[in-house]
Amino acid sequence: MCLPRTDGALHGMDRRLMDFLDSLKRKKNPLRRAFGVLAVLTEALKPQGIKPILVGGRALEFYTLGGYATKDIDLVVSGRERVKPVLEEMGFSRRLGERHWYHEELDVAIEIPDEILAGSSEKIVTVEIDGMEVFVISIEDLAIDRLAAAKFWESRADAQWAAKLLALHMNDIDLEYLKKAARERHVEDVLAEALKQAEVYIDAVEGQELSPQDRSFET
Amino acid sequence: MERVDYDEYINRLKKRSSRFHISWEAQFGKSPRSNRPRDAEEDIVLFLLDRKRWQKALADGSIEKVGPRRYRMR
Repeated sequence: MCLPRTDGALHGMDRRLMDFLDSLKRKKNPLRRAFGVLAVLTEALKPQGIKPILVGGRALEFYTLGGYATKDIDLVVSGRERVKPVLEEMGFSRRLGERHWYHEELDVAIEIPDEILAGSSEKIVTVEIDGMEVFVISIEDLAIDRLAAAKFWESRADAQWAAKLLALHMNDIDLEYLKKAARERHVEDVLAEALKQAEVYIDAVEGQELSPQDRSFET
Repeated sequence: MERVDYDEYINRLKKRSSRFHISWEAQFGKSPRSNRPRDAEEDIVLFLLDRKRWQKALADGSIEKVGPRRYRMR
């Protein structure tokens, strides 16, 4: 299914978007469902020039294709108040005092913790889905976010995730930008460790790719 | 023995689970990320599975790399 671009007004959301949203309720893969929801939200916000960017755990879930799993969708949206009517139209609700918008049938919870992206908008990754787009924080900036958590919250698990992210996507990383961003966020030391750990992961792949016959000679 | 319809069970539970999760965070703030690192062997195995999943997704077309910093998800 490929949806044509919609140029309609925000209110009274395009019927095709609503039908697509409805079809997502039957998707069993939570990552695919979440990205479908984000594609609809992004498309609906386009006429206002608002570009939601996926950050946090769900972005990590995408880059690891489910290796990391989370319940939340964290977004950075400039002008987050303008998102409210769109989410309401999509069937999301939020109770007094709660930060999350949630949709029970879609089993999706959205939070907008920030209006400004901690990272480069030029490095954002675009994911096309059914003719629409979802914008995701770059691998480099997501790794830096995890490394900051590793260093300043003493979260070693986050250091592991950063290293995995770097190892999985090493060929796509702008290493110069990564190191510059690490200096700016004062995490050069943990980045150096993460890059070493990434090498360990990559070595493990090379070891695994030896044939069983080759392995028998290894001691 | 009680028989459980998996889909029905998940559907019933996920609504309640979402509500608990959201109410918890509204009351107590964002849950801290797990600080517990995985042991080295488990960590490597899970990484290899992550990598295999990417390779499989690229091979079967469920994810396609269509350009620099651009993917297509089917």
